[in-house]
Amino acid sequence: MEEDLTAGDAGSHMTRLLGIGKLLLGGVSVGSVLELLGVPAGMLIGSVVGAALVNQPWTRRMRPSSLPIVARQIGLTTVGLAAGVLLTVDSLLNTAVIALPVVLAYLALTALNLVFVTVLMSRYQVDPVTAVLAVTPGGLAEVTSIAIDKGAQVAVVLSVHAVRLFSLVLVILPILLLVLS
Amino acid sequence: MTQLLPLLAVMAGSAAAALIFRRCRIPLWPITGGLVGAAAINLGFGLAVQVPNLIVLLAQLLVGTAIGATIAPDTFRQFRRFLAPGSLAVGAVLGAGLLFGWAFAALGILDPAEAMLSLMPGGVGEMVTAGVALGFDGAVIIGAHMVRLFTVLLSLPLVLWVAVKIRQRWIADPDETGPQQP
Repeated sequence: MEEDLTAGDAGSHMTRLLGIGKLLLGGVSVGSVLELLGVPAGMLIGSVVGAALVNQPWTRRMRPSSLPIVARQIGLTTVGLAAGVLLTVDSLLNTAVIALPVVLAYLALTALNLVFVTVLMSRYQVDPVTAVLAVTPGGLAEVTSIAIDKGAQVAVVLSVHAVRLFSLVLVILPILLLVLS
Repeated sequence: MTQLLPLLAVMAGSAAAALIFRRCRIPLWPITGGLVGAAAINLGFGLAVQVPNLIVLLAQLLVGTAIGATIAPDTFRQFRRFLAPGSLAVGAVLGAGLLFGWAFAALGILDPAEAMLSLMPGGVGEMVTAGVALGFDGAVIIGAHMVRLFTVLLSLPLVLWVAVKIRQRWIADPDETGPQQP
């Protein structure tokens, strides 16, 4: 009996590992393609798409897998690290000067966003958490991670933020660069 | 090798700060702790570390894969449904970013180009790269985006509370129950 339980545990553990491997393989496959094609945040968006695709129940035997939460936390900490090393003494001093106007500007934008939050809740029957996270102008990785933690509809949040990122980098930024240069 | 030790030091600082932030229940402790810890070690010891692109990509892979694993079969139908209102919200956010950029320039707070690149809510890397390519001060752009991230993320609990109140007061039926609380 104990041997059966142990064998069962080992089998379950192996199944879980294979599921994690499948997710990472799907993520790195699509992510690498988008990254090589120069798509903005290609690895991030591509790994979302790739992991989602391999995790769908294409056959009856297929069961969804999940990544251990510690893996996401390590990824987010590294994202923070990569941003943190960009800061210099100059940027901190300059930031101190402009911090208050920037804070006020984004609080004003947040107030404007409440209009869209209300539209999403009333017309599209979206729950408050999903509606707020969908329009919050934060980083893609940060906001979608919060969406997972708070049980929001990740697809809705992700799709709106992907549209924002693509619009900005593929349309607005080239126009800005043309005008400013 | 010369870059490896400073990088390891920054990574250790980042991890330590993240764990401290977690203990203190600071919102988004992995990112905020990781950022503060890395900045503290990097600046405190004058290391000037550059994170290899491979590490950044691995981090994005972990985060993206974790997100992708949560997406259910009906997700793609929802994507089509929310594309129109989402695009409208995005247009407003980007338009507001341009307006603020113009206002900052008009008030003399920032140079016009730096103001635009600092206040458009996009990826920090893209905005900084564009700014540096045009010969502008990347430090200002980075700082503005960091302030944006912290402002937006730390004000999130209040915004969620307001959204719930709006729904309760003006949208939901009195008998309606369901996931509302943030």
